[in-house]
Parts: sequence; structure tokens; C-alpha cells
Amino acid sequence: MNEQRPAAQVVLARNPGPDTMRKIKQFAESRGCGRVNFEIDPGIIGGVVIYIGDTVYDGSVKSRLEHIKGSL
Amino acid sequence: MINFIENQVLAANPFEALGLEWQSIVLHLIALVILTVGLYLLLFKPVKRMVKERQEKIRKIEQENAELNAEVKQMKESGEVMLANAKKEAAVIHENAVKVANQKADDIVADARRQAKGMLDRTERELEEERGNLQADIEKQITDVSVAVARKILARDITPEDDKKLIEDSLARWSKENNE
Repeated sequence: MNEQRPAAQVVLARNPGPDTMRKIKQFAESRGCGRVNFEIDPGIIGGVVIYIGDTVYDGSVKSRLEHIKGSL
Repeated sequence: MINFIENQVLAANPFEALGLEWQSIVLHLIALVILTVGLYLLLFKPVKRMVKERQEKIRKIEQENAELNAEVKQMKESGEVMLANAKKEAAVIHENAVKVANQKADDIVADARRQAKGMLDRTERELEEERGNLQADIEKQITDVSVAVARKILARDITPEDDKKLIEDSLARWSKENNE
């Protein structure tokens, strides 16, 4: 059953702890994901980036800085 | 006595005393008249006619001369008028040429000023554009440096608690947006 549902790719700057990871899984599942793959990338500085299919949820510090840079 | 009578007779007819007869005298008179008439007809008249013709010719020449003089005078006056008109026309042409030259000079000066102003404006625009580009470039560099500095500071100073809060805030926001 889970094989047919899309997987969520989650990028984090560091391990946020089990409680936060559970909340991320819940969020992904509420978006119809069968499983969640975690990846550590210090380049995003902080926050989280979640890829579900073609949708990207970007809450990283890196993207916020880019947004501020664009505004400037 | 006889001599005296003869003298009286001679006094009565002096021609006879001179040995002339009246017939001879008459003939001489007739010859003289004929000679006079002949001379009149053959010599005086042609001479008179020739003199008259000569006078007529001289009169014609004088008339022609007078006409020529009048014509020359008229031509001279006409020439003077033409010369005066030509001088006036030359003065007008000269005046017009001076006006045209002045107008051309004014046009050239105005055109040069216009070109100079155009060059000045273009240079000012280019300077302004260059200044704007430079300013934008400086601002971009400042922004890049600021963001790079901010990234390094954040990467160094964000604590796990901050990171956790950022993640949970993002999840809450996305959930809220999805529900709306």
C-alpha cells in the first residue's frame, strides 16, 4: 500500500531530535506520503526543506536569506 | 564848216561814229541773250542743281549726324541708367548674399551648439547610467557580502533549539495554509 504513495524527501541542516522528526513525518503523511527520507545538508543553514512530488516546502534559513537578498 | 557839220552828224549817231551799226548791236544783244540763256541752261542750272544736291546731301548728313548724336546721347543715358540699375542690383545681391551668409553662419553656430548640447546631454546620460550601474554594482556587492556574512553568522550561531523552532514554525505555517 505504501509503495503506491509518493515518498517525501526531507532536507535538514542537522538532526532536530525525534519529536520534531515525528512532526515532520506527520506533516508528510498528511500530504499523502507513504514514507519519508531524511537528508542532512548543512548548506541550508537551518530550518527544513520538504520535497513531495513536484511540490517544495522550503522553510530553510538559506532560502530566507536568498529572499532577503532578492528584496535588497 | 563842213567839218563842223560832220561833227554834228557824228554826234547825232554815235554808233556810226564808232563804226558800229545798230543791226550789229542788236545781233550782239541777241547773241548775248542766247549766250546767257544757253549758259543759264547748260551751266548755271546744273551747277545750281549740283549745289542744291550737295546742300541736300550735307543737310542729310547733318541730320543723320544729329540723329546719331541723339542716339548716342540716348544710349549714353540708357547706359548710365543701366549702370545705375546694375549698381543697385549688385547692391541688393550683395546685401542678400551678406544676409544669406549671416543666416548660414547663425545656422552653423546654432547647429554646433545643438550638437555640443547633444554631446553634453549624452555624456551626462552615460555618466548617470554609469553612476547608476556602479551604484547598483556596489549595492549588489554590499548585499552579497552582507548575506554571506549573515549566512556565516547564522550558520555559526543558530542553536539546535533555534533550528527546531524554525522547523516547527514552518510546519505550523504550511499546515495552516493548507487548511485555509
